[in-house]
Amino acid sequence: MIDSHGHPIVPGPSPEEQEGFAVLEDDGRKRMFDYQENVRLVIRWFTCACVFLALLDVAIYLLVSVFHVFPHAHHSFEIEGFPMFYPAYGFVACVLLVLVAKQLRRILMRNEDYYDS
Amino acid sequence: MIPDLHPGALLLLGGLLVPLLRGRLLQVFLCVLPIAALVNMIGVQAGADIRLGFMGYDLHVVRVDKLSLLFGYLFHIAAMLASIYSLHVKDRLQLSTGLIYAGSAVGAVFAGDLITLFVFWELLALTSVFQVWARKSKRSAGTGLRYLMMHIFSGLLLLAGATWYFQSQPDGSLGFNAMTLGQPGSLLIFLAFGIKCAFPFFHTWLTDAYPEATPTGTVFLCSFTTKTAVYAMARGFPGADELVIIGGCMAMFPIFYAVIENDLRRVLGYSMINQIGFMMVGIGLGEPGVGTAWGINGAVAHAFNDVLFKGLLFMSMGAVLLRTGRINGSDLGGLYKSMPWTTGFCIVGAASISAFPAFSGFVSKAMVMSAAAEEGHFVIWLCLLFASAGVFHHAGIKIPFFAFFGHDSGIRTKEAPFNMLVAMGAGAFLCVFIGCAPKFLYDLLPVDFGDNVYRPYTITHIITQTQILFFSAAAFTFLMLRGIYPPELRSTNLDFDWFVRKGSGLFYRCMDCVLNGINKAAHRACVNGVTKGLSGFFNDAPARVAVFVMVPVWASTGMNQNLLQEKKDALYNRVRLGTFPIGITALFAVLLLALMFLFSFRGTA
Repeated sequence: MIDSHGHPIVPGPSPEEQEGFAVLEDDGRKRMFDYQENVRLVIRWFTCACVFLALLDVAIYLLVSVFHVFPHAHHSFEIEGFPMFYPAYGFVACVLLVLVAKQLRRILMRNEDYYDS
Repeated sequence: MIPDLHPGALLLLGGLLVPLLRGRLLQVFLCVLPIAALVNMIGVQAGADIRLGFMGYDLHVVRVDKLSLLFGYLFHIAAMLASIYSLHVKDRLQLSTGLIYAGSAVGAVFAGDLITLFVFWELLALTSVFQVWARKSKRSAGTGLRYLMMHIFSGLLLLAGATWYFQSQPDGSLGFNAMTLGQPGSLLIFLAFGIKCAFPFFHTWLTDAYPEATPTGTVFLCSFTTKTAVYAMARGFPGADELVIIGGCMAMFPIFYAVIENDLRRVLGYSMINQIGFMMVGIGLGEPGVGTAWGINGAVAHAFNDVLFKGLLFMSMGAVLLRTGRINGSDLGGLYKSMPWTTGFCIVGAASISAFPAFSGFVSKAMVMSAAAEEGHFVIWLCLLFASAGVFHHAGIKIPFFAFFGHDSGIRTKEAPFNMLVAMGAGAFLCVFIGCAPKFLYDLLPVDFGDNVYRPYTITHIITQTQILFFSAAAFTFLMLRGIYPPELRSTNLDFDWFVRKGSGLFYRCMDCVLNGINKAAHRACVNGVTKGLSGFFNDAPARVAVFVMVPVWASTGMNQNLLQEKKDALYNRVRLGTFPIGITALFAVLLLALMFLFSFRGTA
């Protein structure tokens, strides 16, 4: 093989020849997430945690701003004091991020060997 | 105490010795050398320095203060982890250049003047490229060359800037201290640092080279180059407002790329630019003596943590690449079954970069964000908050999910080699240790906190950070379950390097068209046009003149047309070839003599 400048191409080691490469046969044992109920369990616990965090935020807002139980918490910006600001920002930011990135694919995506051809 | 040895000397010289060793001896050497180098450095105290006279200049080869010491410790720890991670490697060129590379980074952070900095800056570029070339593929050869060109360019800018800056200094000092951006010299230096910091538009060397290096090479690469640049920026331009805006952009744009990128090491490359963005914002906010010390301290602390958690993530991905020969998200999945330890360490790295409480990112990233909030940078603060949610999304969830969980690719392999597990374990331990006991890191930070000691573990911070992370994860889960999340696809995503990689082809064709066109036109005009005309003219002009003179003479004698034509042709050929009968030649000779006689006669009269 010769490249575009007429120099011979020295092929690199293929992954299989590379030292440390190891492919084994599947032993057929089922692991944790092969069971759908485990996956469902993880999602359920995670949802509970999110609901707890959201409720906690509302509770803190009521205690601080309505009942004035704690001295006013330190906020650099007013927006931080709104109930559910952080959870909502995190959720919306990530959904937006993915939706925008998905649209970016239309403009930016090319074949894998785009630069090699 | 004045150091007997340059702090980087052991790594530099040790790297040169590597090609002479092999087998078990080499492995022992790789384990011992960084420790010996660290012991050598620990003897060095803040305030110590080494000066050298060179061609009439006073070079400050070693200048020790808290900032350089912190990076010195960091680079030794990184060199230690990377050498243990590379113990199985047989390619001694890669190991040797790796250690010299680490030594040059140490040399650069202790450099007290711009010329010494330049020398180590270039040495960093020259030694690091071998980590890419060691992959020995056609692709890595091209990538390495592009990487080297970018870094040599940065070095040249630094040299030009240093020269210019030196000329403008009233005391003629070459010292590398805080500068302002107001003059061309410091602007060039700023740009040189910026290229190595992966500023937007110059960032492509990073996302181009890191995924193409060997599994162990990337671990070396991710630790030294950009962090040396962050050090240089923190030393040279603390409080530069431009850095706040540049850092904000750097924190934002790579996360969009990271979401759609398939090569998991390239995802980490983009995430690295995003983390450097946080550091740039911190440095930009860290005007000495103004406000809290959180800006600079946060940036430096985050650089320290980034080497550990990003190193850990690159190590886990390197182990996957080594064992399976694959690194694309689309080809992997379900590896937790075969590589449980690597999975665990990767999750620790992911939790640290995402800044979960009790992990290292938590104690440093928030310091930068608090600095932005304290100084009232609302938009930047929102950007950084967006970026922290985004980084959890792509580095915290995407990397472990697509490599180790997700769709089972059916690949069954062995756990990573023992040396890799030890290095990853040590990295993971440090991430958790710093996260739980930040005091050890905070004590090393360069600026004294004064009355405003940063306290990461307040109830508000823990709750808000947990909320933002859990709801980012909720967004990921929601998008995954609804099938909206973009699937991993084998693809190339265009980035600014298009202008270099495709643009250079276009430039070549344009130049081919324009320059070769000019060449052709010039050939037509000069060689075929003017020269041919002139040669023709000198060839037959006398003959034509002779014919032109003689034809009226012959015609006046009443010669007929045929004879006239015959005589014309004969005269034309004779004059052109210079063949005349002896009589005519003699006649001309006599005429010439007569003319000479006449002129000589006139001269004497």
